[in-house]
Amino acid sequence: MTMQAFRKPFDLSLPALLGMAVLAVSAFSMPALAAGDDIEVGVAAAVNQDAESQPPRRPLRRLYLGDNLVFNEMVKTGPRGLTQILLADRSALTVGSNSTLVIDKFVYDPAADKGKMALSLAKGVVRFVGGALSKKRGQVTLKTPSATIGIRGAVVLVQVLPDGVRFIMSFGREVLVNGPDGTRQRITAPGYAVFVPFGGSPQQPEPVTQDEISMIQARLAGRLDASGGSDTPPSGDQVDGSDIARRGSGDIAIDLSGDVPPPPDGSTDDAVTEDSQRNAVNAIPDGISAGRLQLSGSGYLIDGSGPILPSGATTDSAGLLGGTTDTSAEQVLSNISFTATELTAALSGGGSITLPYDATGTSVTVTATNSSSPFGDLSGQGVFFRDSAGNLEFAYYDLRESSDALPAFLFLGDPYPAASQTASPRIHSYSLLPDAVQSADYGNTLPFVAGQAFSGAVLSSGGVSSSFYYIEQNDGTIGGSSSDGSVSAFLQSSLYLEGTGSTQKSSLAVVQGQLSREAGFNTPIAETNRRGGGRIGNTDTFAYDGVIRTLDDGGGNTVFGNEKTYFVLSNDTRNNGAFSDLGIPGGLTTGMRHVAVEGSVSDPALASRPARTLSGFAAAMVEGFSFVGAYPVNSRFGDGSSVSMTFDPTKNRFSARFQLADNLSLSGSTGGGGTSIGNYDFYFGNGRSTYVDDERYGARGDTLNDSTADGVVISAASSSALSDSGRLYLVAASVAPINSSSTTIPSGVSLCTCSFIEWGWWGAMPTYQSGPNSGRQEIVHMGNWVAGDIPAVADLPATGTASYSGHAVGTVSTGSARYVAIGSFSMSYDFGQQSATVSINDFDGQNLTASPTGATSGPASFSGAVTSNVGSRAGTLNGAFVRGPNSAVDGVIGDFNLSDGGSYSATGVFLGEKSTGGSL
Amino acid sequence: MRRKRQSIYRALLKKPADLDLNFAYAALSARLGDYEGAITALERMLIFAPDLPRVKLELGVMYFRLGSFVVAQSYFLDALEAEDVPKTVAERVKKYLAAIDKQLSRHKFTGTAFLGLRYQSNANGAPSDADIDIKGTTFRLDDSATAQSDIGVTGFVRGQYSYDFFNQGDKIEIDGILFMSGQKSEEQLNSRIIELRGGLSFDLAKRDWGVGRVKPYLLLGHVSLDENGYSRTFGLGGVVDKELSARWYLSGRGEIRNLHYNNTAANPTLSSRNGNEYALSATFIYRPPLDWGRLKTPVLSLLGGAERRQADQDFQSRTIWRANVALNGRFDLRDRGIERPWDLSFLGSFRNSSYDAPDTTLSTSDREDREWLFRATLGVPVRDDLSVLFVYQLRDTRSNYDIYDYTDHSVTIGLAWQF
Repeated sequence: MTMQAFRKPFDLSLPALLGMAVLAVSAFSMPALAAGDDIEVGVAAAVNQDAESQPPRRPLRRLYLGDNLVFNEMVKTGPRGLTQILLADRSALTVGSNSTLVIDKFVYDPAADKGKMALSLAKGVVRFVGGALSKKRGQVTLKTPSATIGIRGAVVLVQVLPDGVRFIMSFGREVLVNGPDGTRQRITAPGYAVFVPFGGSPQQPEPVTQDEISMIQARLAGRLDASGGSDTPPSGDQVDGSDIARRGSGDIAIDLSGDVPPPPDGSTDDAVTEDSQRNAVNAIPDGISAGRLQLSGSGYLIDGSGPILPSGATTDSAGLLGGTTDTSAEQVLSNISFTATELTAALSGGGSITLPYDATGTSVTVTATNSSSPFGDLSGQGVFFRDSAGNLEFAYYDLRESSDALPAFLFLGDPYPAASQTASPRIHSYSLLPDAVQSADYGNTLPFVAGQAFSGAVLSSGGVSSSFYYIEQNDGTIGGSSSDGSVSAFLQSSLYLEGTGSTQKSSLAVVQGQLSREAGFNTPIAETNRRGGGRIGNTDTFAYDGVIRTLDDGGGNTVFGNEKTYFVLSNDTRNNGAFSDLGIPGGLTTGMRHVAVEGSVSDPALASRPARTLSGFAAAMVEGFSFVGAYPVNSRFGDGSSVSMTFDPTKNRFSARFQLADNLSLSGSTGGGGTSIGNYDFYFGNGRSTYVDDERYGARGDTLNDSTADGVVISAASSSALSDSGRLYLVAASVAPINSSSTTIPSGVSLCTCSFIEWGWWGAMPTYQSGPNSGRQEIVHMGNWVAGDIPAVADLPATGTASYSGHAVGTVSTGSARYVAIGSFSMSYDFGQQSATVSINDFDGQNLTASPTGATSGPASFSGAVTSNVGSRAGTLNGAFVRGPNSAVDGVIGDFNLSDGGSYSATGVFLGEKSTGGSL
Repeated sequence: MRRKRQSIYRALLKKPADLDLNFAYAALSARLGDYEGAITALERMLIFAPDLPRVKLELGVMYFRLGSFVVAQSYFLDALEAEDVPKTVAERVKKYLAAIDKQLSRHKFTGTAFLGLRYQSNANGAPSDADIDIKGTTFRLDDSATAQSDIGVTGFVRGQYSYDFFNQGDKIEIDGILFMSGQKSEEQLNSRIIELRGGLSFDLAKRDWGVGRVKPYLLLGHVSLDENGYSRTFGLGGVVDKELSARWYLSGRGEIRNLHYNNTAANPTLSSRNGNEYALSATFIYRPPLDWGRLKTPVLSLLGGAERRQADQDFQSRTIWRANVALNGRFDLRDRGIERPWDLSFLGSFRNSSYDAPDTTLSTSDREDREWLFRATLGVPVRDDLSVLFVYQLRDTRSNYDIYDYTDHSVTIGLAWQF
């Protein structure tokens, strides 16, 4: 739309220019001015005389309030003059005294707020308050004798001085000061000024002073003797009561008060509250203050497949975990701290160890990146045991020093509280976890067996290990003995039997002892001898030796946990102890540790634990330890009970006596140096026995009676828990039975369950302490015994027949090899004839037959010669009936021996229960 | 209102000396925020009545609001030189002059100090339910690990110092805050926070980059908890404030900081959070042309931002998205005889945190949190420089890790002093 150019008369009201909404003004389509045309651009809104104006081509006139002004009209004030001109776009010019101002151009489109305004100030002072046009850049200019300025959204004071022009931006977006030489300065902040000297360039903007402003304001202010042309100037009260006062200084509180920021909520990034929550659920243990670390001591050797232990004197445990010739190998933990993922502890040897931890899991993998120690990188596994609330009760780490795979072991736990002991006794059953080195390096999980002795045999495959049992003494305490003499006794056993003949490998380990209390320890101690032995085909028979002891955590605690309990059994590193396998050429010194994890607890009152005395038979191959040779010994029945066993459940004990003899008189020819040994009298048990129930019992050498051979002490009795020179052991077969898939059991042969018959294993390492054989050492490995309630002859049926079946087990010696053999047993007995037919088949590839006859008085026994279908082998068979649940003759037990008069001999026991096929 | 003002202006052009028109025009212009318009009318009235201190007062106020402090000062000084200056005028003038002195100084130091009491329904940020699920197992938290209410003393001092280069807007600005809180029961949460930011503030207009500022800065901070060093931070950042239009303003911030936490006996896993934080945010600020009823000078802010925390442990690293809405203003109660307006502000905030990896001690899934926060603040001035503050805050966090769910209501009452 085009701008409407209103032609004068003078009195044409300017508001018409503003127009209604229908009237739009385009600055770019301004019609050409015709000569004589005057375009009104503003009105004089206040005038203090003297003030004049001169429209173009017209004479100078006095200016009055309300006069309209037109394009190119010059406004001129004298020394006391002042005028305020309001323009159509709501801008205002206050022309101070002694000033000359021309409105050169004014074009305004109110609809678009566009247009152009050009002013010229030849002299004096002017205040320009921008209106709509000045809101956009380039629309308002003011020319002065030294510079031209562009005004954008500003309130500008301009003063022409004698030496130049001063431009002050009171407020606004921008004043662009363009010098005549083309240079320019920009004023962008209120209270800044630029001075342009005549003929010079605009100077840098600088802050104005109050004095300068006051001076300029004075020239732009009214006079006390003038009222700007108004007849009704405002009063103070009018101002006071006006809306402008309310909207102005009335809002002083708003003007002068700053924003008050609310206080920070102090959440510190939530980290501390989150950590507290995390730690609360992580069951960070707080009852654990000690622990133990065992390292591989110096001398621990590495071969191609992994670390091996040095052979050497058994008194020196150097090289073992915790071996103390290297004192740094056994360290105690302190200052133990847990986080959700880490455990850190100080080490008694200096430095600290950091291991990964899982606060809710059961295991964690240790790597070089999540662990640190003074001994280099570590790897391995940590295992954690918790109670039902998730609290850590016990933890252990099986470690390797990564660089050379030397083993290390660390454990810690929450000590077992004494108050947890019950008033009535209990039977506890524990799993013994495999030793990590034995398991990883030798494939052996059998406790306290040195897998490295078995030449590559994987003992885990085929070996059977029992739980670790202990029965509390009667007053419910643990350790020491009750006033009634009952003890807290423990028992554990494992058996490995594979192969036949000279390639057979066998191992029997027996751990039996009593829990005790020691000063300086808060919890019970388990300490005992390692017993049993092994045999590798035709090479070596060796005895297990060494002291087994519970490890303590360095804080006097050996048992840990509350809901379940845990402990660690190991070679006695506290006393520099190691395990030895005696009889292996060059010796074998080793150590191992087994974590015991409680499995179940039962009431002995609910177990079958009869008090009774049993009689029976025993047999074994006595091998030379200090000499080469072997000969069988078996029961000397007929002189009274060859084997007697007495069980005392009130004390958790039993005792046994084996009276054995070299019945084939082979000891002279095969016993080394022509020495002949006649009779052996072995005593087991009493203070070194554990009677858990009628399935779980075992013993070491007797604490009350010396074991003798031909009257010479071969194992002295001693009340000491550890002093057992004869290295005797006895264990029920039901503790660690033969693996039913063992290749030693001939095909078709099954072992008799014979629940009312007891049988098992025994061994010894007799050492002659005086007499003609002083210093002689023998070894019995996996001898056999069998016992039961033998009735009297008078209790036998007078007539009838009975058939029996079961098995026979014994040891064979071929001169160069010794091995266990198993065969089937069967017998038929005619009670009227008091005679029997016995067959022991598949026993070392032969069938034995005997036709014993029964005793006529005394124990219901029978005996007779036995022959083999192989060669000229012959011997003697002794047996007896055993009372069972149904009759006095429910079973039969006995022993036998065999020899060919040369290098072959055998001995063993048999047991059978009545089967169908007889009249009884 | 603009049309009304326009018609008044047209009438003024016919009758420029009409006082009613002049007063009306001035008042409407002020109400519309067109202080220049009010100035033209007031200056005209001053020409009509050159010795009216009241007019000079109002002129000074208009210039003050425009930020033209030197000119405002000249009017205020002029007002005091008149004979028989009314007491209220003199009082107001003096207050404005005192404020202008601070504004014109090369060195400016302002600040706020606050001391108050705070009640929290869940000071330890814990779940209210004692039974929580962790990896499929139900854990029972003991009492200390569930929500605990507590009261405490809280205080802060915030100060800002600026040095004006007197080169049209460039400054040095240093901002510091010291915050302290002491709990009655949850003493492990007693905290002391100090953070300092310092940098330059460059005016954009003088560089012809529009109206606004660019403020690069360095920052340093330290937090102690329960008398133990808890964390320290250092970093750098930058703010760009830019006027988008007469009503809209944009403030953008980017910051990089390094955070280091110290493990303590009570908090042994804090160091897993060590790492760097990268943050970006943009706030759009709207200033309406008119007051909203009694709510004067309202300001509406909308913030959107993202933050990336890269911690040493992946399960502590996270990406955060946030959005805030805030409304601030001054509540005019003069018609109720309350001279000073009350400060009102409301804040609504949402934050979503997604963690990089599961915290395997607590879960097999990556952690995801959503937090809602609402805060209302009322400031009641009791003196020009002293206010009573009432703050209510509700904070609700929902997490897929039960242990981190919590809701906290807090109420703070205290005194704030502005200097």
